[in-house]
Amino acid sequence: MDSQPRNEETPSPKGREAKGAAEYSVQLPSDLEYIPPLRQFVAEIARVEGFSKKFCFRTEIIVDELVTNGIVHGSQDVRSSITLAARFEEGAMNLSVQDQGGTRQNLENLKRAVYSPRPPSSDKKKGRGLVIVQMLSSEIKIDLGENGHTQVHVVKTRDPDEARIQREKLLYESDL
Amino acid sequence: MDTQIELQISDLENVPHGKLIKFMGDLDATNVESTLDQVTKLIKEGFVQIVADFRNLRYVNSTGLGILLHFSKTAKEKSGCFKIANVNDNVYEIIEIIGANTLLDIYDNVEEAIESLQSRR
Amino acid sequence: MRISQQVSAHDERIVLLHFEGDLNASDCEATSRIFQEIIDSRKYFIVALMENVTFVSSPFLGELMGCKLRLVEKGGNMVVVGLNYDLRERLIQMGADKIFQFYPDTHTAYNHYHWEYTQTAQVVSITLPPKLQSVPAVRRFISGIAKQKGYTARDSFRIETIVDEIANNAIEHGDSSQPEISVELRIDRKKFELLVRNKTLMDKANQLKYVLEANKETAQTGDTRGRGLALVKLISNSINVSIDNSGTEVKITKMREDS
Repeated sequence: MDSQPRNEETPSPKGREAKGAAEYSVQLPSDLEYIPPLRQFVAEIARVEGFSKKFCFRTEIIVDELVTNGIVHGSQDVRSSITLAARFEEGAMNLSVQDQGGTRQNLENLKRAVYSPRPPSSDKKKGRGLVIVQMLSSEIKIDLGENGHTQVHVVKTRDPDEARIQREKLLYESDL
Repeated sequence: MDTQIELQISDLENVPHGKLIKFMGDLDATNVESTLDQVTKLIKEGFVQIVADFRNLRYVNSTGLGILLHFSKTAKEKSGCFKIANVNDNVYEIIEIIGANTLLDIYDNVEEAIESLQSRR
Repeated sequence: MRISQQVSAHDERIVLLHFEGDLNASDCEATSRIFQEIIDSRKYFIVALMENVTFVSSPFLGELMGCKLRLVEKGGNMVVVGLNYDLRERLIQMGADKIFQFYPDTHTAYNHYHWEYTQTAQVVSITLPPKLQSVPAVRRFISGIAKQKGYTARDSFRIETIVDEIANNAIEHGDSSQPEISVELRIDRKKFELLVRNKTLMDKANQLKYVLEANKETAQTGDTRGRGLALVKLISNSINVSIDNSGTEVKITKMREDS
């Protein structure tokens, strides 16, 4: 029986000593009910791979927002599924969430939300989720696959994020 | 559906139309429905001075934040308020990113939130 | 009010009704007629899409409740999708939450329908690197899904135990060069199936097959893993191990206890 501690403060030694990247993938039905266990799974894996508790909480919300978006706006067929891939390296997590494609309008909205230079204002209901993802990750881009599949890639680096988020938050507040 | 949130509701002493709601667990897209139901019923019964204790709210996402902003708006429309106390750092960061810290009334603890209600009267 | 209907492209038993604009008392008659047409065409499941609805009057809500009852009498149902918070709040205040289920999106509504009315299993596939440290997260993920899907705490705990033992075994006894192991779960209202696939050395695989499939209550090996596998046998309903050149697959079925 494994007894990996869950709530330790220091990074777990196993993740640090791992030389190669560790890759995980999950495919699941487009159904919001799967999101709570999924997001906690990815956060827990990030912890196992040696990332800090703060990093893991932010990972949890990134997964939640991207998968919710894929289910609500990128799953036209009732049998649609979502595929999440997470690759952990020494200094970063690479996350991709693929859905089976929404309407052309859905895709335009997604592009606007991901590539817009400034986040929308807070009284706007739609797009809040992607604002959170943008602020908490180091890189974000969209790839269009075959069959109209949409993939959102996020890179989240280990530590320098902290300073950047703080800086952007101040800029954003001064805009409000 | 097994909901990951529990709302404990109790009276607020010395605050007419007041209720304290303790949020426990995770507030997200899978349980905004039940949260909306419970809080709406309170507002319908005339309890519009609400203090929400977030001490045990571990997690909130953009959908959850949407409903908190909605409660705040609805309570204000009925000349009441929806005040939040004891927000943990992780949840506060999300509130801040969305810019909702300027729209929600956030207090360090429940006592301060209640005091602000009493001084309003 | 504007109302339009279409039969779902995915399941011809389901009709999607798009409502738009203000739903007033004057719209009751037309709506009732449309419901009757749908019922007459022997379709009893309706998803009411209300994302673009701007107002719901109380007479109209009463009409909708009556329409829903007509569907329920035929063994069907109607659910509401996409209604904004302000209108939801208004409907709750009129007591509609006791009558209607509200869903944020069509998908979740569809999935609930399939879960409740058809025996279609939902499938989740996971691949992970073969390291024991990842297993706790995987077992909690899968038992979390079982809980979310309404399985009891006891069932979910047993499922967690099954995942733990089988996945640990696949990693410990797997070929040291295997790049990943895969875990798949198929879940429906009545049962839960777990499939764990990996690369195992042939003698280890045969030993596993012997321990898991032999009709014995305790394992012969007597080691920790043997006891774990014996436990899995006790709490699951069927176990099958298949071995071929591509690897080993362990398939465990567990019936839901309250089904």
